[in-house]
Amino acid sequence: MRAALVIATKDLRQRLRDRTFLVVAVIAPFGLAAIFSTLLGGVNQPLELSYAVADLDRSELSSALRDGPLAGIEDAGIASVAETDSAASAREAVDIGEVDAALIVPEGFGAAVTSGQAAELEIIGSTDAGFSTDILRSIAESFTAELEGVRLAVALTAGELGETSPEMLAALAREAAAAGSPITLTDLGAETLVMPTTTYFAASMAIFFLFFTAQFGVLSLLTERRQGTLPRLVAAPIRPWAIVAGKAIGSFVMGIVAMAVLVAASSLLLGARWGDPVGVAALVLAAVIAAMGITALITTLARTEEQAGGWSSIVAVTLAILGGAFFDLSQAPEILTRVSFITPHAWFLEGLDLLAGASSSVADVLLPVGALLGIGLVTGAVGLVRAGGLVVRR
Amino acid sequence: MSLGRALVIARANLVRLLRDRLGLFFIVVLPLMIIFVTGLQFGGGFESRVGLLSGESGPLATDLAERLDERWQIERYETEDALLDAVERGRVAVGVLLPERYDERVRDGETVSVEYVAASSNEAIGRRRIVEAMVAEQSAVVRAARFAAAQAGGEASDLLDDAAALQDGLPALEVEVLTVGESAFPEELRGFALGAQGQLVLFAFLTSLTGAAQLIVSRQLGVSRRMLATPTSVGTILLGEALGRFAVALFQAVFIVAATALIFGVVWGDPLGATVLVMAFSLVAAGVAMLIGAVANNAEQAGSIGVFAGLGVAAIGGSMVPPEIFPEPMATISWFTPHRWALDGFRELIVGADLVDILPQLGVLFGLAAIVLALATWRLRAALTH
Repeated sequence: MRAALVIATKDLRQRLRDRTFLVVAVIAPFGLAAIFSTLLGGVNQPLELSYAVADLDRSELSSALRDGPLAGIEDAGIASVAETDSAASAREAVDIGEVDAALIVPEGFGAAVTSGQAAELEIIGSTDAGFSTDILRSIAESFTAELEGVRLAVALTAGELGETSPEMLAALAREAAAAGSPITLTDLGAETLVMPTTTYFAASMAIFFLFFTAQFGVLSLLTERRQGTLPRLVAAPIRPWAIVAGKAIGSFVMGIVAMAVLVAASSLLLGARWGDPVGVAALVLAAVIAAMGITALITTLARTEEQAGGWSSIVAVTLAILGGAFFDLSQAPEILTRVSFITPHAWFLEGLDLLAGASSSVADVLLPVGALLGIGLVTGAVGLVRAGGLVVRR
Repeated sequence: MSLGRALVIARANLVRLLRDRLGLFFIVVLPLMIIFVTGLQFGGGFESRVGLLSGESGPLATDLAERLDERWQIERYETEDALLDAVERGRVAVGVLLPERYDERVRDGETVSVEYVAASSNEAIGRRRIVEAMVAEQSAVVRAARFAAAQAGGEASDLLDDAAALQDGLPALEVEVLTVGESAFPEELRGFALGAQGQLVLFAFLTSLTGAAQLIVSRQLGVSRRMLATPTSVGTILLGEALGRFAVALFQAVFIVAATALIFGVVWGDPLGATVLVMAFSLVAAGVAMLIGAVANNAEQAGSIGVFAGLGVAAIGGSMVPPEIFPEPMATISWFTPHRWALDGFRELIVGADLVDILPQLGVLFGLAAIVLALATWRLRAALTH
């Protein structure tokens, strides 16, 4: 056991001095996560909509629109609504980017509605302000839907009563408007059990590069065999398994440390929120074991270091793509999401998603942790046995 | 200086690249995999799913469900918890919940609410509007029937059909939406083109950079010195190495252009313009690779730092996330990378520009290539002859 620790410590010291290792283990994943976060960082900006309204109708109805829902969003502080006096100036405001979208109430709108004819509201939106335009459209459509509802009620009632006098119709309209809508759409809040984007970049880069970090340990067995230090180790009065154990311990510690540094750095410097610490620790531990197992299996199947390095890289990249570390697969076709769960990457990211809830704890991630450990132990068992064979063989 | 010998050196580089079967994965398979997945994602292949909870079979509930089904890909759920879970985990974009005994309660004169749930995202608003319109349409019919019944006497449920018929007959109050301005993403960029362009610049650069490690190794092993011992001038060797890097980058780029055109139907635009643009970018990649190969001393380091730097510059240049959506400091910074200029050229070509139109971008790229190649040549010459 002591021999194993000595080997592990030597490996650690060697690796920490190797700049390539530091790049792969920490600098590259952090750097890329930082770049991606900066590129896509502005996702959660507060809502700031700006609209222009051209009321060419000046009827009771158009005022109701202006003073009702439009004033509402202004008062709520999420939009600024500017009045313009012509359709042309409204359109220009959108063109030059002064406002996101403009609403035009054409002349005669109110009259057309009350006399049961067709009418139209016009919205001009900027192509790149789709979201703002949608909101304005939403407001306009709710308004016209309400008008249509009242109009239908009046029309049906007037038909039943055989009424046609304008005063009666107007009175009916007021009563119908007051009656309100029998079926409404209400909003149910939902928690987001998906980790925030910054965390996603940090986590996906971390798990991606972990597979490169993890291979150094087993790879060093092949290197030492080539360099001739392995036979000397074997000749020493230590058990062969101690050599393998030493390499494994070294790998394990490096993996944990690298991940820990990434979690800390991304939390402190990039604002990533990983979730419940115990849960994160469990996921990281299990992920390191999974990475070690897979890389051990692949490396021991190869015959030269170059082959081992190459195959490990290929597997690392393929698993990362399949596992959703480069692209969010949550809305992907069923088959792609199912396939992704062969990869440890998918389980790791899934675990972090589960921890994103406000009241999540380690209990929620038992399944992903279990899956990761399972993958690691199964592949690792085979890999370790083969590694042992490598040590003993000439 | 012998061109023939330079070409021999260049050919050796290319052959070395192609013989490395593991390396071929990164050159051939990987870019296509990434283009495929990005194409699916940004090309609208991932149709967002909408979850529906409705155990009801009454005509009103069925009507609403049918309308939703016509519009989107609907996933039905049996319980509220299951649907909420699906929304929270992102399995469905939004969820619509019809309450129990929907038809019964409406006919009884109750006020009923249909619930809408989204884990708050931009796209949820667009959908909400559409669901709200569907609900409002049904609600108007019920409201009219109830109102008429209250005013004129009779049963609301008897008047529902009349109300529906009347609704069909009444002229609509529409909201017309006009969009102005040029979209940052023209129609032609849909599908796989966006991903293809991005991955082309990413991989052409990266693959060329990996050659830098080889150059270092051949320096270290003394291969370069042995070449000098033969009746081959330093100039020839330098030209050979430059051509070698260029051939590698060009091969990668041309492969992606051909493969994506064949497999994914990606249109690259004017052939002459595209060819010159690809060559210009490959030259820049070649220059950078040669410079690294000349200056760095540790092949392993150069290899991994090269990959990381290559990925980083590609990301900043807009090959992973379209630069059109970059926020401000990044948008300006991206113009300091050759990738951005190349992408800009490709964007123009795909909407119909030709060689003359992209002369500015070509100018920048060729200029950059000249600078980098000059630097690289100078450093490599120094490294080889001292």
